[in-house]
Amino acid sequence: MRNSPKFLLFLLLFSFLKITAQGDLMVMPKRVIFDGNDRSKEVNIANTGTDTATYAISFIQYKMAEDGNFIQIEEPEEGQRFTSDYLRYYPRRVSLAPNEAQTIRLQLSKTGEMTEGEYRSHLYFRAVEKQTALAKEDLQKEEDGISINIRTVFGISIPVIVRRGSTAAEVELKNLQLKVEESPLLSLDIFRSGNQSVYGNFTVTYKAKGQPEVVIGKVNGISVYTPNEKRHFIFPLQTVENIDFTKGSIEVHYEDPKAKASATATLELN
Amino acid sequence: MKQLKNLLLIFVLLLISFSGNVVKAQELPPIPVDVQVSTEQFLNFGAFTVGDAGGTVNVDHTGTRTWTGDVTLLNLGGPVTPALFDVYVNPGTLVTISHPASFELLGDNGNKIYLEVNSYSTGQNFISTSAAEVPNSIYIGGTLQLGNSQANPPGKYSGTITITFNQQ
Repeated sequence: MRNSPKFLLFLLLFSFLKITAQGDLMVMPKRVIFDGNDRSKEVNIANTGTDTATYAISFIQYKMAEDGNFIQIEEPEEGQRFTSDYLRYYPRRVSLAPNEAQTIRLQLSKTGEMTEGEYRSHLYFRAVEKQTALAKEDLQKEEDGISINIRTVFGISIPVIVRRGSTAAEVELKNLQLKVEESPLLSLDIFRSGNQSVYGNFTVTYKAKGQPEVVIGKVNGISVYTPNEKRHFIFPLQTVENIDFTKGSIEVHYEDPKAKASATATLELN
Repeated sequence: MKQLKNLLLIFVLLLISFSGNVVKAQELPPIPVDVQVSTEQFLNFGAFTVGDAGGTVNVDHTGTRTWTGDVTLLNLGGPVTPALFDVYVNPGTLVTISHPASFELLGDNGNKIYLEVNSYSTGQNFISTSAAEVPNSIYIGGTLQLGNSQANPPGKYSGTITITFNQQ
């Protein structure tokens, strides 16, 4: 028996119609590589928003799943080494007025302790939320209710890779498959070998007898990090007139110009 | 006279072909290699009530709100919205979205409500198709896991969700 009516919880979620407490953030470049004798590098961040904002800068460790998703880790995977143990960086917290920019300096240290191969960590920039007077808005709380405030902040991560000694990588493309439903989707596996990550671009070309070749897909910046040996990748192709996906062939080319690693694979459509 | 005309024609043609070469040899301006993100809208579940048995409230990336369990959706309070981020990158660039599996919203009574971020307008890996100065609008939705009235008694619950845009 219940002597109280059905327990009702009022969940009032407050809307934030205008967001001015968060900065917009631009980071340049998108990746940092220490090669050869490089000792220091710079990364620029800029507040592209309309309000002063604070950004926290830290290192974060990721492993990449086979589907390319980033999974945060604390300890390195087997065969993985973090760069963050060998890098000094400053500043670690920056307040920027609108359109103001700041240089973050990264400096390599303890290089004597490093051995041949590749090290990787990710530099992480996070807009720090302002401690605004949320309590005032919370006054709308019902007697028997719950109020919920969800604040959304974003971060941007860029890889910082250090290569020591002689490093090289090779790639191979396998298991090409084309699915033509609403739009054509190409799936394939990139196989990587060697002691270096790859970061390359895909170009997909359609070829058929009596027709000029047509580029029907381009994706930039697909990486396979060490120690991973395989990455599964799916991407949409452009639908171009006069392309019949039941004949001819599709040539897929992957190229990492810096690692001098490239691979080509062909899918016959007949 | 005709010969002279022909010579002149050849000379002009040569000039044109040379000028063509010069144009081809010109370098393209460098492509900016950067990434830019801005928050345009917060994730908002609107208003609803929860009974004894608990349940879930889901707002997907299109802003559609659904529920399971002992939940009644109300049309009070603010509008129901997915989170919206604008991401600017060069066309054809791959960006990956990552975040913890679930977020804790902590109540002033010490209890917790869990929020799972699970709906993306672009998928967790997306390829920018717009020009560098045109934003890729990324809508993100999620699900609130609401316990029964003992697990989630009345009170103030608040939390922060952090979404990371990974560059490869």
